[in-house]
Amino acid sequence: MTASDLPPPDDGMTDREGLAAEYVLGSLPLADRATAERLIATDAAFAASVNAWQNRLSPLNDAYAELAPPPGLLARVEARLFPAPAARRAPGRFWLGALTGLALAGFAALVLLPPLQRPAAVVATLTGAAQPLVVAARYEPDRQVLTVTRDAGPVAATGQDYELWVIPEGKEPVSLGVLRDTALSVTLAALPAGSTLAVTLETAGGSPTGKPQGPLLVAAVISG
Amino acid sequence: MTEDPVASLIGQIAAGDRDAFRALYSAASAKLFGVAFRILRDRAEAEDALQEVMTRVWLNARRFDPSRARGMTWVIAIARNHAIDRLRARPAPQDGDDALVLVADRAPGAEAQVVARGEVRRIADCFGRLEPARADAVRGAYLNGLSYEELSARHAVPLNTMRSWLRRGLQSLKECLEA
Repeated sequence: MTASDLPPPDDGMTDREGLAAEYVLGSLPLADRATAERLIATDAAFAASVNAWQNRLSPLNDAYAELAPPPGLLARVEARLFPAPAARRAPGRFWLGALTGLALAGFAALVLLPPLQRPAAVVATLTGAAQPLVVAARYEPDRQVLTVTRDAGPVAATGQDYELWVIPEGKEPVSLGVLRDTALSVTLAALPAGSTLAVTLETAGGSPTGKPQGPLLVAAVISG
Repeated sequence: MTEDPVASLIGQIAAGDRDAFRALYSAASAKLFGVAFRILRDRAEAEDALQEVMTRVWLNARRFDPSRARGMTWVIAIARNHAIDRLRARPAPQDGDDALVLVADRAPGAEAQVVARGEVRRIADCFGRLEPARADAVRGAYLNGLSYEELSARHAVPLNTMRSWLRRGLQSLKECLEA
């Protein structure tokens, strides 16, 4: 069930204002939260409304008691964010070499939502060093759908497009389509650990050869 | 706006300062772990959540705007949002899980204990104007991440009634705070 299945409450709030308020309150089902998170990334007015609600309700945060996390947790975070230079792999094509350099810049992250009965969603943030573009990816194994949105950074210049690629470990990149203003949803049978998601800048409509030709902008490696 | 050391640290993190990242961890991790644990009610999962939250703080620091939020408000929002997303991604609760929900709340008047800051007093006043059951539902949703289903079961009202309570409660709070 999603909240959108319920009749809209007659409370004087617009749908958007109500969604922003309920998102911050936390009571929404996952599907509606995902809708809100997409809007935050794409709609500045909605993001401002969410921000205002966060500020309004922030005095409630005083009710959260502090609890010391276990020692060593910071080290685990740092190991993930700032990996020591990995052993050099056999040099691949130029483009894959660029990808390795980018990964070493330490800007790949993902989260596995809890591995309970339902297959866990995989969430990754594609970023690059000194790169304003930030792309969010979410893969739902049970639906076999990968949804990708531009979270930050400019639109591609006229005559150019961002193109999304999946690179199975040790294989050639496969195009998943071009990423414009709306979320890009594609069917993908699997997104195993070790795969890479990457975005390159290509000519409008995407690389005509079916292989990446333009510069690699952002990427994330899926880790298990 | 008063001094905001956490916001300054986030600004340094946005420039890639790892020492600032460690300093932010020292300053905020106990609060963020408290948030994750209260919502997830599972220590191991709260640890995973805190790792992810700190990762997002590093990755998203350049999107923080100190003119729009205090630093702690921003990092706590990341922690709440991530913990609630994890909670919602869990399978639907089985019968018997209700007891957990019922005992998990009640930190009575915790927000009222902190009266030093004017804004805290103001929101406490505004909460005081809501019907007690509705104020309790708003707190349960915000602090513990309770869903409509859990709240409606707990307060023995239909789901859409609960949704109206919450939305009207929020609308009243907004009007009261802006008055």
